[in-house]
Amino acid sequence: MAEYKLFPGCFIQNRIPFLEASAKFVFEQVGVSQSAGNFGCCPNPVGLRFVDEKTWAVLGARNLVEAESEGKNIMSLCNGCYQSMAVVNHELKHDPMLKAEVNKVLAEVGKNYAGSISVEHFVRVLHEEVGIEKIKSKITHPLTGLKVALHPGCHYARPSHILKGEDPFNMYFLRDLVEASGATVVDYDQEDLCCGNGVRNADPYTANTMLKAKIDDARIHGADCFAVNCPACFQQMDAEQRNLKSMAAEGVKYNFPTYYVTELLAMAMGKTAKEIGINFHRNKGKDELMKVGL
Amino acid sequence: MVKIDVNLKRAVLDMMMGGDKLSYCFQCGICNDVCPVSQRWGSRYNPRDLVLFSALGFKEALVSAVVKDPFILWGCTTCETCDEKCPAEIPITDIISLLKNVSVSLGVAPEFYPSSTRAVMESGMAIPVQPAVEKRRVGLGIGPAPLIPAEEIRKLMLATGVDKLVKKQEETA
Ligand code: SF4
Ligand code: SF4
Repeated sequence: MAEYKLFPGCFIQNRIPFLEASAKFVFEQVGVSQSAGNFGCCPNPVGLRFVDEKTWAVLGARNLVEAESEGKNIMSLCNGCYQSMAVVNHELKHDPMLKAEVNKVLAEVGKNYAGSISVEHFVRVLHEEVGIEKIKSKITHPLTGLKVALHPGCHYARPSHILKGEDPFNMYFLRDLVEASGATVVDYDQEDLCCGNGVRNADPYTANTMLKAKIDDARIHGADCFAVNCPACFQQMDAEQRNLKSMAAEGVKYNFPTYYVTELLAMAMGKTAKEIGINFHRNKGKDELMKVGL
Repeated sequence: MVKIDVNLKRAVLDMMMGGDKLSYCFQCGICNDVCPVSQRWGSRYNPRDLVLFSALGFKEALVSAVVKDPFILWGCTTCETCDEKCPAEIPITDIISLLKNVSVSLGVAPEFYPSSTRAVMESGMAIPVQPAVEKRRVGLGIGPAPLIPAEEIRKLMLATGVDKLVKKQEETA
């Protein structure tokens, strides 16, 4: 498999690097080769894009050019970065006027976008390029008995006419990866519901109601934890639970653990929770992990 | 009388008729039905109206409504469920993003948006490298973060003029 330029995104890289640690361990185990790139902000599809679409396209294109200069495709660890760069790539390929405008700006720093590489999400790389059988062959400590509710997240597959990975309303890559770890996937009604991260900066209350709805529903269906494949969803679903206290029904505590999918896989491949930094989670899920011998 | 902004009207109609399709919003309301924010807030958050009023070019009316209650626009969580379910394939969230750009250019946006743009201008990333996290990275065995080409990114942002937008926002705030 050709080497990828790894795009962890600012959130993983500079705030919650333990997600990167688990991902890199899994990549090494299953033979995904990757290297760092000279990247900047993706930029945020629910941040800078809303301030100025053109600047968003220029900075996204700048990242694409960095990967083009090495002739390698980008692999993202974040739904948001993935969506931003894949959408910018698509728009530039289909809109010659925008491309000319963006290239005019890029020329100021001696760069030029050609449109020669693609942007991939790591979940697709693991599922489609590595394959579930190979991943299963590396599992030494199956998480038998752990019940997992999935949250692939919105920007992983939408807009579906551009992000061609999976049908956004019938996704199974994350499910297969979680099942490969030996855990059991439980279905719940609110799987497609947004985690709420996208509205947090404008209206935290609304964001909290969405998170609460997801957790309440996952619990009703017997889940022990969430599995995610995006650091923004991870942060919203793990760290922001502290804000649910005032909304909680009597006697209900919000300490529901969330794991990034490569954390589950890394533990199933023999890493201890401590080695991959589960102790940095706000909700570590000690009891839930103990249940499966971790 | 309602004032019509032809630039907004043209931009939104362009988005509806982009590429190889010609479609129009027939106000079926499916976007409202599937929207998790609309489901929580009812008429306070209404993507169907955002599409209609922007396609009609009612910029002034929209902006004054946003000034009164920013949530009517900024309440969108960008889940893109509406786009997927719209029978006419209207790029609803692209239209909403455009309206947010308009709202920012008039100095009406929640504080996070200009401030995170400034962060990118200053350090090349929305979340800059932090010494404590660098230590944690080393402890986890993945080494310090790669260098960020901050100067180059700043140059690009000055070239697009987004610095002026942010300044204007900061002055109104
Ligand atoms: S779902 Fe599409 S066609 Fe129906 S009201 Fe919304 S934007 Fe218009
Ligand atoms: S993208 Fe915005 S308007 Fe569309 S369904 Fe999601 S929250 Fe509602």
